[in-house]
Amino acid sequence: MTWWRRMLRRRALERELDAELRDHIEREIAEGVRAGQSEADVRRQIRLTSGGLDQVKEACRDVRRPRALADLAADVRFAWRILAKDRWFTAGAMLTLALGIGATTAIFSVVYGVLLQPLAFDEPDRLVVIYHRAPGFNTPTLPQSDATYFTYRDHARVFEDIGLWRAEQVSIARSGTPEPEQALRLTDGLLSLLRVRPLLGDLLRKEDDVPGAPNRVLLTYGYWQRALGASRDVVGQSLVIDGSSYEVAGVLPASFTFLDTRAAVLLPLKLNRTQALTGPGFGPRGVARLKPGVTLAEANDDIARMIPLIPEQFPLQPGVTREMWQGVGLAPNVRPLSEVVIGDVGRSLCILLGTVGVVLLMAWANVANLLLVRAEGRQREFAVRAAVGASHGRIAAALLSESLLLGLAGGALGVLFAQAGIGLLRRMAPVGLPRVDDIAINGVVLLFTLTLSVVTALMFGLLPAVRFGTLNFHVLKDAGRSASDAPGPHRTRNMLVVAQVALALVLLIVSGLMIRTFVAMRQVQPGYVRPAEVQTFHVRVPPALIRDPQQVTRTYEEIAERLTHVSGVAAVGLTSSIPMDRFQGAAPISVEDRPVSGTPPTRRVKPIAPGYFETMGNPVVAGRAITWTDIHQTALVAVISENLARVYWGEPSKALGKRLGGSPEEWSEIVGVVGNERVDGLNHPAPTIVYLPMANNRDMAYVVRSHRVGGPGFLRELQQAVWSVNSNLPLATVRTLDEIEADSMARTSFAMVMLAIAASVALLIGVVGIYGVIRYIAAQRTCEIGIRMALGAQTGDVRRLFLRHGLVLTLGGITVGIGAAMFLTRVMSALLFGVTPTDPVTYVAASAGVAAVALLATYLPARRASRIDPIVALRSGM
Amino acid sequence: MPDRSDLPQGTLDLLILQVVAAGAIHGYGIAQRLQLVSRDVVQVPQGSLYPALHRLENRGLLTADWKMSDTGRHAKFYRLTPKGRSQLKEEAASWLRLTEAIGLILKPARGSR
Repeated sequence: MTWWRRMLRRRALERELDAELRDHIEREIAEGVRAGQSEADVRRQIRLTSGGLDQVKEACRDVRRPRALADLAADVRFAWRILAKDRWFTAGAMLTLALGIGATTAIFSVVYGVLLQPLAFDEPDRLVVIYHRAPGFNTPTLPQSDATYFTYRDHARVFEDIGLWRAEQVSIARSGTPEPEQALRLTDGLLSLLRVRPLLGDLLRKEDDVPGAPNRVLLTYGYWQRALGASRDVVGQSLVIDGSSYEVAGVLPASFTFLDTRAAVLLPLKLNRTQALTGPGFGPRGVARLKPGVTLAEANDDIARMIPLIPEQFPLQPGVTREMWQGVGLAPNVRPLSEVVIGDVGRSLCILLGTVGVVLLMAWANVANLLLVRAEGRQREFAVRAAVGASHGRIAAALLSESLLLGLAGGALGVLFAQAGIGLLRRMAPVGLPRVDDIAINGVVLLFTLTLSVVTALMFGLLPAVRFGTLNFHVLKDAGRSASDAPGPHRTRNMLVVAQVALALVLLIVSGLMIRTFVAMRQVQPGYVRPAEVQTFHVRVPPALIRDPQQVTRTYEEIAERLTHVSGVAAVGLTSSIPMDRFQGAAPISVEDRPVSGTPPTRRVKPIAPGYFETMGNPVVAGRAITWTDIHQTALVAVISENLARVYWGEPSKALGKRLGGSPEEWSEIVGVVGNERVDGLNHPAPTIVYLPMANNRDMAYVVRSHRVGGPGFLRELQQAVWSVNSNLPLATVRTLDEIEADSMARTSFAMVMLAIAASVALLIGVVGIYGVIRYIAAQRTCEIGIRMALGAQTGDVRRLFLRHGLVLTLGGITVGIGAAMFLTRVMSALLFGVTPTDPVTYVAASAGVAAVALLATYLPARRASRIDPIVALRSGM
Repeated sequence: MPDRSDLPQGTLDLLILQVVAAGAIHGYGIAQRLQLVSRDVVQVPQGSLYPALHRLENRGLLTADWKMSDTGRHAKFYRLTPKGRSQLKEEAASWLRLTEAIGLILKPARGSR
């Protein structure tokens, strides 16, 4: 029989043991009585020689089960009883721990889901993104062009395959009305290199991805469910996309997600090899799979080898000289796909994890403090245990099992908190947060939490165990006061309080800096006013719908005209891109009277139509805006941003009449200068922009200013206005400028809210810590206070005694906290805007806040102590 | 009451095995037999006997069944297992060797007195 089966049979064994021993005693009594003794005498004799029945039983039990395990079981049972008895302590400690562990678990699950968990593709570590460094374009992440793609795919040595993709919006007409949908255009190699297998039908084949091939489309699982009712015979049916008919080739599985795209359909990119040119036009992004065992450096070398081949394979674009091409300075920049997916969010997440780690530390400190106080109060209990034979180790083990129980319970509760927290996080998460769907409490996260709970428990359990491992037995002799006169526990507690104040201050400073960043972002001149009154939407005119470019322009003009007649509309404008919304075109721009050798600096280029500046509320500083006449006559005119005017001519008015352009054959005359636009986001400097009259643009965004934005029926009226011109044009990406701005600030506001929550929790924990310690010390010194008062001390004196103690601790904490903050906030400078990591205002305000709250937490117990009746105090202390 | 000697460490197990080797016997019987055979020198209190019995059972040297005893009551009867029998043989031999050796060492000392 193995020991564990015996454990299971414990009850039966107990019965047998009892029967066996009683049988023995009865026989002995019977024997004794037969020999003439009285029954009572025999019983007394047995007890003298053998001890009580229970001791014998315990000795028998001991040989039966592994000792340590039995002790542990007993310790845990006893710990449970102790914790259950002291309900308030247990609830407080558990809640503190659960908050700390819960917050850490929630953030860890985000960090794990976003940063650590491998991508959901086969062998994801072999997947890379091919970017180019291009000093001429001033970017390290230049994507691909037709020419680079064909060159690399033809000549690559270390890549298994290379694919290109581009996200775009299409309109899909099913039952009459066109619906805007996200689409992914890709080359034939992409899905197979990602090892995607279709759920139904077929992937796009190589012959689908050539110009002139019949149109075939792949559906994503989501779109198939949503729009086609998950019908299984959908393969082979046709969809009208952007006015052309497409045959459904297949359906992708639900598990397919590609980076942050939320595509409904996948279409072939159909690049044309015969028309590919060497030139500065880079658009689609490149993804590749490395051959097994190939390093990133080897991949970069391979691309570097192929770059000189590009102009040999494909002719230069007209107007581009060989020198200009050289001036681009194309160089390889192959990066792991996972790194590109995560982007720059890693740093904010790590800061967040660090922050909740601090909260957890403070929770530790508080619980450790509580346990210390309790352990001190329980010295008599420990002394009694030791007196009846418990070793120091056994007492420490008992204390540890208490904290282990606390830690595990706190951890379990923490997981529940984390579950709720993740729900909240998902809803609050910035739009740009990658892999939001991968965030969940899974096995790895649970393991992390378990480890955290156990380590936590050991950490705060060891403190009292070590402190009270050496026993003093005087506690048994006298009233139990002498023990508290030892300086040790006070010093530990004081240090814990100082640490808490310091940590709370660090978090307050960090969140204060975030708040200042947020405020600073709200105060910049973004290039527009009152964004809540501006409605934006895109209208695309695919060639299948209207072939003639001039007809397209007239359609846009006519729609703008109709929109101005919608009631309540103050202004209507048209632009190729809305600030902070999506990538805007850029190109090297030469200036006639400032010739440079090599590639001129890159400027943003933004085709627009009349009304844009007026609608946005961006003032024309000098000259005039672009007119419909400019557009119809394809006049060579341009409007530039104020900062660009200042670069070359110092003053906006001096720029008028000067000429600039992409190439010397096509100088555009500067007819106007407008205010700067922060098109990359409020926390990025405004780039220099060249505004040109729209020409041959087929994807334009309308901006409509009205006090009716967001009101009932307004959007419908706008839509009617568009459809009154052409009923096949859907409105896409319908958003207010306000929403776009909020999205661009989402990461900042997300970080701000999270840090503010963390800081508040930290401050609360810190305050409770200070209050608890001062309160406890006051209670310990009740007798001393009684004597002082009996000798003539005033209430003010007593109050000052404790306030001084609190003040010293607080000042210590603030000093340490400021030092730590100065050091730590450097890592978050990337998140900050308009404020330095050592912003004095934030530091002073946070310190003052902490000091005020800490002193309040000291004052309450101090006042209580000063109101002690000396008689009562002295009597209770004696 | 005659003098009682404390048993040297580990000898109780040996004595129990020896007594049980004679046939199935319950705890009280073992105590009685030890006392009788040793002429009251070896008196084993319950607090030592039963833990020892349970330890031997745990180590697989003894096995036990509940049987009706001579007095008509259910009692736990211990028997040697084959493993217990070989253990007994081994330990008895080593004990005899040891006592003989100790006797040899003590003899000159006694003679010199």
